[in-house]
Amino acid sequence: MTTLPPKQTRFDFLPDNFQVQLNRFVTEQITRSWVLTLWLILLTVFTLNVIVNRLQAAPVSTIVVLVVWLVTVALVAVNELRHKHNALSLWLKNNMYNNLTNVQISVLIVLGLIAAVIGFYRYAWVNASFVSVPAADYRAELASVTSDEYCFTMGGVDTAVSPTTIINDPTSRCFPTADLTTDLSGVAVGQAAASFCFDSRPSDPENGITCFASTAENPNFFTVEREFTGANWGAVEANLTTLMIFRFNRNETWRIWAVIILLGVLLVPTMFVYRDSYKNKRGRRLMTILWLASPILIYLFLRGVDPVPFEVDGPGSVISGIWNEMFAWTSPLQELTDAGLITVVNGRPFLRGDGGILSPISFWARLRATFTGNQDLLGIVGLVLFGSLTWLINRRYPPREREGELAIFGRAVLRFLLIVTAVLAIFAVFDVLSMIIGSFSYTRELIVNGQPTAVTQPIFSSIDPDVNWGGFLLTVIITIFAIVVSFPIGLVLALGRRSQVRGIPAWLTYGVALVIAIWGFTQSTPDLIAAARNDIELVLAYWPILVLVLAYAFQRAFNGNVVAAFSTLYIEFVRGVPLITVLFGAKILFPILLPPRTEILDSWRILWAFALFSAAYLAENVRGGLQAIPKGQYEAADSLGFSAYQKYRLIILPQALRVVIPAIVGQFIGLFKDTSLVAIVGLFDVLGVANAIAAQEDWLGVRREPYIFLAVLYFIGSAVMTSYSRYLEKRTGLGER
Amino acid sequence: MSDIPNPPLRRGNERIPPWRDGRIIGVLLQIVFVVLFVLSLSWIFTNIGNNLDALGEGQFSCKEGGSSYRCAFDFLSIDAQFPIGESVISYDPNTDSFWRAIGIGVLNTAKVAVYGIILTTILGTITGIARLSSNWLVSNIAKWYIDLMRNTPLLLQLFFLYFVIFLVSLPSVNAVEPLLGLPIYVSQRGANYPSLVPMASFATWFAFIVLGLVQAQLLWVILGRREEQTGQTSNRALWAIVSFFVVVVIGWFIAGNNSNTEAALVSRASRIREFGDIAALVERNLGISDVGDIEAALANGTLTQEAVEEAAVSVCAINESASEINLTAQLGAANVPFTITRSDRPDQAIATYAEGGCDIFVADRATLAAERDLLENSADQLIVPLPETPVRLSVPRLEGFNFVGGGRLTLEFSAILLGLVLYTGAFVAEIVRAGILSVSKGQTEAARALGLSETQRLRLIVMPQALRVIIPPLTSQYLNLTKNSSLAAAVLFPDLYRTINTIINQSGRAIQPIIIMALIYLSISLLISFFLNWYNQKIALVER
Repeated sequence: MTTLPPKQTRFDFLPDNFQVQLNRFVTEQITRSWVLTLWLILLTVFTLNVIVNRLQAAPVSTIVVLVVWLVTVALVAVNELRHKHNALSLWLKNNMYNNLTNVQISVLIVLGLIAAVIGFYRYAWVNASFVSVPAADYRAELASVTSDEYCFTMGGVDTAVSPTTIINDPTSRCFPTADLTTDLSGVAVGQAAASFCFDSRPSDPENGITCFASTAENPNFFTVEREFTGANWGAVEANLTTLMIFRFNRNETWRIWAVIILLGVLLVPTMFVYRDSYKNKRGRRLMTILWLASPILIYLFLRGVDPVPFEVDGPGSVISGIWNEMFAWTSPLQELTDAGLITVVNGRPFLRGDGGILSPISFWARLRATFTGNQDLLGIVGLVLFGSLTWLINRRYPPREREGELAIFGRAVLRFLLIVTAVLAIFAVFDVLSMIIGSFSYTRELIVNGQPTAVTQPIFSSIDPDVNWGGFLLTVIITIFAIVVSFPIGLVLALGRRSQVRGIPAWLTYGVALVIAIWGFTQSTPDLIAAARNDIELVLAYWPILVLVLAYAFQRAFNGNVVAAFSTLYIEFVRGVPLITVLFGAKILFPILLPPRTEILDSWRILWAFALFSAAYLAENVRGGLQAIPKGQYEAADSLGFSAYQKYRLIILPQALRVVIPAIVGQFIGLFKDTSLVAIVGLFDVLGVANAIAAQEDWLGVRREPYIFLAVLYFIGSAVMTSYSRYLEKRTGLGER
Repeated sequence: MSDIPNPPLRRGNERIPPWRDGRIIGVLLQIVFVVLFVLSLSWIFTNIGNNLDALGEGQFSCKEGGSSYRCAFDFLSIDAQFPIGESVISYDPNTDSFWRAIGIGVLNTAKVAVYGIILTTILGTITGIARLSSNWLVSNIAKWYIDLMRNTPLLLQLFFLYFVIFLVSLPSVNAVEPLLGLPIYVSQRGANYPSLVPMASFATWFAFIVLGLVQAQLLWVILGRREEQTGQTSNRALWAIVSFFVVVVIGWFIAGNNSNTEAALVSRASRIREFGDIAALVERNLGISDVGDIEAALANGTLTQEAVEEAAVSVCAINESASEINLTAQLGAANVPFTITRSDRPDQAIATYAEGGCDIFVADRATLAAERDLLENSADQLIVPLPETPVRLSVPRLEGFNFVGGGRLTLEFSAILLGLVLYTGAFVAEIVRAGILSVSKGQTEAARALGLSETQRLRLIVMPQALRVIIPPLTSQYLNLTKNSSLAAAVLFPDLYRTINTIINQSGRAIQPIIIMALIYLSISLLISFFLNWYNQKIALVER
């Protein structure tokens, strides 16, 4: 017969060595070192302080948190003693209650988070105002006055229609007379310039203190002044369109929608067609062509073309015409307007026609204008000439495997001439295309001299980017342009920096440098020494030495390789200056560096500044990827007879770019955020528009809510790009081998 | 086998004709590229010349008249004539040149960069380690902070910080409360905090500090040798620190007592012969025995406020001089009521004193002697010595609408510093995290197996390996911080970019200031890059 062990105490779920475990716990967690004990004491005092504070400030939530905390701590402690955790207590033990310090820090953090969340909830929802009428335009009409309350019908005023008509849906709001905070004993309501305030805070958290003030002109309509205790989301709602597209012509927003639809239509098959590289070859080719053609359409939608590309009255000679058209970038619109062919209404050009005002010029007149004495004509003529010559010669003397050197040279020359004239002919094609595109027009209504008039406007009529591109539209345009343009440039720069081509031979470099130095020493230095006014100019007079030093450095560092030298210097220079300097320089220096009276639109300058800036950073990232490829890959490709283009396109770049996808996408996210800098150089991206909104009379000083909205917008954009990066990494198998 | 009919006869080693030899064409193309580059440069310079001719001759006017390209930078010697919000060195718009303004811009940028780098490193390290904490809440809060900072633009954060938080939420100067009970006042005028002001005896004390450091180092080395020889711990850290402090304290008293620079100019009639007599003077005037009783006397009505103000000692001092801070600190510590008249220059102060505007004129002995001799009744004037200590604590007080004394952080500087540190700290946190994670877990396990404590494990095993991975991207973040400091223009802090902008507007020349700005930023970046490369080479792992 076995005797059962004596009945345990009621703590029989605790193990036998409970005392030992407790001692060990105390020694390890509390008394291990006096520093630890001191720290725990201070922390406990602080925690108790905070708890007492929060109990006074927000008793309900604090008690809930405390109860949950104590229960979970007890649960974890008991399970720890039993050596039997369930999932919850195990997670808690490992993540929040690791040691005594963490136990208290956890509860402190939770209390802090609850306080922050409650505060933010009150600010952003409970006390927030969603009225999208600016405070100055919020009007009220006194509907009735009784002994108990004053009732108003409130709404907004469309000042464009009339300064007094309340057009929004009038909501009725009544204030108890008891809440009146001004003394109206001597004032008759409705009397001119009456003003009174109600403390509506308890019953009207949206409006807080509401004061009404009428004016002598409109004694029955009161301007409402509101005090916002919470967020003014109405400001964001009212200005949403402005934030998105700023000054874009509201009549032509269909262009933006067209671009969005175009991109959507192209994106959907892209997700499927590019997935597997071993099938769908024709589909991929089609999609690639469509994507390459899409910038043209997007350009037409967002920028448009001038209806008549070049001047109508041709210049005297073809050659001067060629020269003028190639290197004169003045706006042809001014000349057309001077010639009386275009009229400008509200800043937009419209064609005057043969048949009268505001109708399109006939197709043939414009075609003639396009081809009057400029490089279009030369291009087309040359293309036809050399093209037919090439075809004839190739028919008569087809290329053979062994030919004389003269024949090879002749074919090369012919090919060169063909390419040159083809390039010129491209201008012609562009001109004709833009002229044709300008022929498609539609009729819409414009206000001309105060009268609504029907005008015919080309569908892709030109828009002035400096004025019309703004807000989030500008941000997206800059980002996409910079990403798309900087990628090939950066690639070329990275490849150029690592290029091993044979450089200029040393004898040539030193010879030229020596010649320049000797010329300088004999011709220039004596004059400069004589004219030197201070020590610095004296030193600068010996500039030929600098030429020799530069030649030596060039040979030594780059082995005469001009490509590598140029790429390296460009990258290091652009990476060394801040972006704001580059933008500033682009804005101010561009007009000085180009011939007088040339105009480049501000928007183009900034776009190219971003693209060139980003290209340098991209080049460094790609260079890192190229360095990560083992040399064996290059050697294997060379041994298999790949040409340079094939080697890079098929072997090297796929591996290199895959490795640096995170860095490249990080760079693009940085670019997306850096578009905000154009606010400092005077363009209005979404941040600039937010600042402009806060400067308006209606929304004076309202910055917080637009900034919060912008933060959310940028956050979403960055999150989208980051998730795309992760998708790319997974698809290309980054890190799997 | 081969199916080429009649393979053509070839001479061996046929030379490729030069006109289609790829190598020669490559070199020729490079030469053509260089020539085109030089031509386009000259075209650009021609355009610059034409455009500037259109702007007029003023662009390159020389100091001595005439105009030529050599005088491109002469205009920078003209007086600047525009104010700069804050500067590390003195600046007078009416007499200082544009060069000095540029120098101030550079110094301001450097100030932001230096403080920013130090604070970013601290914040980034703490956040990175928090991100690796085993506490889920701490780790996630760090993650949210990092994500928020990295996904919103820096300019947006700066605007938010400056326009929404600083300018709106900070109390006005009159309504500001001391922070946490300390005399730190954060208001719309900036943050005023107590600062230490060195007195004339600081140099002597500094010598003692250096001496203390040297002997602490000697003690450290000697005790270290003894540790190695005998194998017993010698608590050398404690000895070194204690001895350092002993030397410093001795030096404090010696420097303070042996210094004879601070003095006050009083009339013989005031019967002040030393510092203690000032309190005695007030006590005599008020009829009480101890200036400490003034508070109690005011409370129970024995004295009126007007009587106290009447009896208060009036002091003349030079604005923001060390002597003023010395005396006011001592008078404040001694509870002596006083009023103070500040002048900008010694001759103004002595004029006030001569008119009887104040009882005491405090300055350093040399100034006092020089000014006393200019007085008519100089025989009646005494110079009494004042005690001093090597440094004095200068506490900000509200007088009128401004804070006097103490150090001041302007709102703009705080905004740009805080914005930059918060933003770059997030990136540094990710770098630190990646660095610490890059040390393989086996290292930690081995350290624990060998019985190393946590501190030893971190200091000796993890950090050296982690630092190798951390330092290169960290330095590029420092570079980013320096370049992002140019955004200070958005919060109206006068850094280099903003100063150059103002110079362009004021002087009408665009090219020269932009060239200077680009060169300065380039030099700073290249400097930091060189340091990075040198450090990288030094700690690089030597591979097989």
